[in-house]
Amino acid sequence: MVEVFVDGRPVQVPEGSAAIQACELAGVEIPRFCYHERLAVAGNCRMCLVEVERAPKPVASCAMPVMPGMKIKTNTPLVHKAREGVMEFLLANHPLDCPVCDWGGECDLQDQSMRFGSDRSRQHEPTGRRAVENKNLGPLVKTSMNRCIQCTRCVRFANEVAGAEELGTTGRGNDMQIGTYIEKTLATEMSGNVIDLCPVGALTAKPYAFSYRAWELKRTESVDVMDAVGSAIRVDTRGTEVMRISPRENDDVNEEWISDKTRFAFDGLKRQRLTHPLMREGDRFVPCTWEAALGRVADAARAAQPEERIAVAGPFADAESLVALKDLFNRWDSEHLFLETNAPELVGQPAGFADLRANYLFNATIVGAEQADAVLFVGTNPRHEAAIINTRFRKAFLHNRCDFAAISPEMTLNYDCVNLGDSLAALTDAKHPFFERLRAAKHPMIVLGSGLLERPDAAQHALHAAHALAKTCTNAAPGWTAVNFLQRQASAAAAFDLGFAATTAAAAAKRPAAKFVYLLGADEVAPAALPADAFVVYQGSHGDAGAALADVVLPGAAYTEKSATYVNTEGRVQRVRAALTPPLAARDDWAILRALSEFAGTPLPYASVQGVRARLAEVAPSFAAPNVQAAQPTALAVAAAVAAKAKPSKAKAKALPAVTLPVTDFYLTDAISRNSRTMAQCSRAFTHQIAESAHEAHIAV
Amino acid sequence: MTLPSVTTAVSRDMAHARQRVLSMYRDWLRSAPEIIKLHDLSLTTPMVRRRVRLEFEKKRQVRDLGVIDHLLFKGRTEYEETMNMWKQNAHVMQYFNEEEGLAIPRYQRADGSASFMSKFLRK
Ligand code: SF4
Ligand code: FES
Repeated sequence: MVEVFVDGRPVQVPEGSAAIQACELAGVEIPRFCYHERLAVAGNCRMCLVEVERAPKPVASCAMPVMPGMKIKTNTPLVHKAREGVMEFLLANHPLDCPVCDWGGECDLQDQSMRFGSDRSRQHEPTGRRAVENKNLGPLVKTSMNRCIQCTRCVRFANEVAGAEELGTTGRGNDMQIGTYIEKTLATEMSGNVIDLCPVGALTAKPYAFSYRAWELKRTESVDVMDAVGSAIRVDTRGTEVMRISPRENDDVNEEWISDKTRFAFDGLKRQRLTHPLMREGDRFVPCTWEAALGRVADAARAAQPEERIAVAGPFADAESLVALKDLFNRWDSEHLFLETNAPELVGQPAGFADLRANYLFNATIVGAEQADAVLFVGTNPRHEAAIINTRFRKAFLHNRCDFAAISPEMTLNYDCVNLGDSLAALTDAKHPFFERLRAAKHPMIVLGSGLLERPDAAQHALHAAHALAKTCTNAAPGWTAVNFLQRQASAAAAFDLGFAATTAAAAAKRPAAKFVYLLGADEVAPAALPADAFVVYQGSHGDAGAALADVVLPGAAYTEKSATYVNTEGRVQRVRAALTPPLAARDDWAILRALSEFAGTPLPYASVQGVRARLAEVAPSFAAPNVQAAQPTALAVAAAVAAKAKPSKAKAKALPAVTLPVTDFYLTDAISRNSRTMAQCSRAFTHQIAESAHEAHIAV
Repeated sequence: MTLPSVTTAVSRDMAHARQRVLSMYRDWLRSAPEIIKLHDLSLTTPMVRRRVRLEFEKKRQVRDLGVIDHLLFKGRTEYEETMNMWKQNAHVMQYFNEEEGLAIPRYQRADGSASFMSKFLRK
């Protein structure tokens, strides 16, 4: 700690921090454009000038390390003059676009020119401003390069966090430009964040350009469910529409980034929505009343034997509806509950998998992933399955020289990763030199992917082999759990916590053919897994693959329309908040199940959302305290217990099929993103690399 | 014609309070046909009167003068709002929804889940 004085007030700051941080601690806000806490310091905008005693001229506070006893002055005529001068230089080349600029109202340049700029202009000629050609960065980021003030935040973000080195600067001085050198799109799943970072409106969102003004929006703080990370988001709505989704800060989860799917898939919420209960008549769906629909479902459920009723939960099922569905099925003496991760074949879990929290959670925690120094991925592509966690891995790569290896088909990550082939035998053998590195690591991580669960025997084998391997990591820091399971669906961790997905593979294999199937937002079930004569109910928000199989469709709420609980892959219980009401006759998901229970004559004992939440806490105590990542005190004991049982044999590993990746197209993974036009464009541009036609590109710019 | 507002008053004793309550009750009963006409209700006069009586019966046991005065005030406000059409049809009909059969008696249960089902189906 060193002591510095800001405007005469003493403050204690850690050694090596910048003067701007000292000022912040002292409660003095310094205007800035290029400085950002989470990016490297560039010091090129000069907006943060302050006076330091005994320095000959004003210094850039973001690039100035503190020195003991340093006296910083932020409120002197010289500082004011300097800020005014910098503002004048920036504005001299900045177009007067504010009335038509999407960033208007949220723009740092606008705000700061009001606060720190001069009150009159010395520029009289209407021409002569710098003009820069716009770049085409793909379907997500719209550029308006005349507005760029060359702060290079976007470049630093792309290089450091996103690992997309193609974005950079060319030229210098007045000719400096931001771009990708050659005509190239910004191919990273984190690209949307440069829109938030850009202090001016040079980078804005292409999909919803010119559709709102910032001050018209109603803001709702919520949590994302497009993957199992649970990033903190803010849902901005106008009237009955979601206009935009942006990140909120949560240092424990997403820092302040979100993936492009989280940010841009929301236009899928406006298409193919289910708004009324539907009943199949011949080959068409006919809208009907809730009474009629629920009555029909209840009759069908009654007609089936307990063993013949099954339920499948999809990626967006919230904890409330999961517990209601489980309670309802249990009241009907049915136990065959499945999670879509195990579909398409409805095969059940490996025995004992769902019993221990440490088995199905990301034990190292998202923050912890940053410390890793050797990581082995088994059947998972973190870039596609948890893009935010992948940024932590990239941090580990940059700061800890972390080594990565993967047992999976070939994949492209934004750090070096050795591919060890796609056979689980590589894990059992553990012969590759990488394993030496893993055993010697202080924070080793073995990350098992949720795709493994498609084959219970493979998952079981991988889990045992991973624990056996973890046991040999004798150098690991005390309290560190090496084996991690990476979920990819927002509903998964809650489903395991609630014992929803407890059906074991053995039990699933023995069950008779299903007669009554309840799909709770499950769209990926293989039609072959459902007998042709089964009565299928689909409850969900979108008319997607699942609804097409159904006999009765019950319209539910999407994640922006309900207040619900989700558990992320590290076991953190979080609440999603409703920004809108469900469309037309659609209802909250747990309420639909509650109403159905009434029609079936087996009413559930709760009638309010508080009641359901009390029930949640009763089933799994971790639900009693939202927003904390519940510690897993048992993790180590569990590891020991599993490892004792584990006898991963090489011969068996060879017999198992090759490991596959569950997500092949990051942009199209679920009902919402499949119905999103933006995501379809991304899939075309990034996944399939189909270039836009010259005409499209012209419109796009 | 707008009904003039009634100024608040304090009841001297039980007898006085009783007299004020009865006078308000009569006002309500007398206005029943008028209410139906004003708000274009598809109800009969006895139905409205029965409903008014039910509201009064609910408060029959109140013995506290202060509380009675307060209820009188609320009743008068309600009356004023109804007669001056500051309420709309839907507001008046809120009193009759059960009779309309919108809350299906089949779901009337002791634990309060009746309101859950009627809300779920009606919304
Ligand atoms: S485009 Fe925006 S973020 Fe990038 S350098 Fe220009 S002003 Fe900064
Ligand atoms: S914020 Fe310090 S130079 Fe830009």
